[in-house]
Amino acid sequence: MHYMFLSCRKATELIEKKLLIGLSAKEKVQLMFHTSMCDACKKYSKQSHELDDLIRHHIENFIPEQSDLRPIASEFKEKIVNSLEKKE
Amino acid sequence: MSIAKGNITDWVEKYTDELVSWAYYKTKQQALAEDIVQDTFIAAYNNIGKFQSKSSPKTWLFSILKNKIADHFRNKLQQSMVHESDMQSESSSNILDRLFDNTGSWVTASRPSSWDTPEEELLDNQEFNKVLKACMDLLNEKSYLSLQYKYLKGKEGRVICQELGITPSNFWQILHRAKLQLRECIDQNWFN
Repeated sequence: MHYMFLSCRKATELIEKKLLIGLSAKEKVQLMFHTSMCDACKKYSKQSHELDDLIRHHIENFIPEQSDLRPIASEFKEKIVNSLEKKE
Repeated sequence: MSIAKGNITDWVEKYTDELVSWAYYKTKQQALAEDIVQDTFIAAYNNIGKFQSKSSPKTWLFSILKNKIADHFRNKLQQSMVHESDMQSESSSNILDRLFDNTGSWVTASRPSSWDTPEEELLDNQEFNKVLKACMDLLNEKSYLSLQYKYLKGKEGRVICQELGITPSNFWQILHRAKLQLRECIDQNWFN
């Protein structure tokens, strides 16, 4: 196979590598060449970038409305304040 | 009473519930969540000099908490990698064989098609985030912890790899499989 040709499997791998640590010059050309001809991987690339933003936002901000967390006892807050007092 | 301590006592009263509920959502263990929040207040107390009154105490406390939770995820991830000599666990290599044929082309049913909702409308959409959460819960432990650590730390990829003691190629392969799986899951459960 010509060195310019990537499989879709390899192209999606490079799309993720690009997002994480960047690509070598050769990899950039290979990926550009592939996505210019492959509609599915072009869509994957766009969605992978969107997904990156969505995951980041979700991980930083999302709290489900309902939680089975037990209520925080006031003793717990006292315990924290006491642990700070010991440090003085 | 020092200014620092007066502030923090007040913050404990005001923000503990929110901090614990977030930590609990992340760790799924109440006792652990409470321990991490207590550590957060101790760290805040010890570093009160670094707090700039221009920023909100809540934002500052949450940034400390995020770091503590990320460290917890890193420890768990490192433990799980010690126990697993083969980097490619079975379930995660299956995703590649399911989505691509033996020449590496997309299997017809798995070819990405357009998503019709713009990203901005999804970011704070509760229903979408529930689907995303359900999809993330289906990831194997290593992928889940890797994603959480990467995005909580918000640092550059190479730095994250150094902190995790993992080679960049291993890390991006974990993320590659995780993203393929999440994309497929969201595609099936939200866009279709």
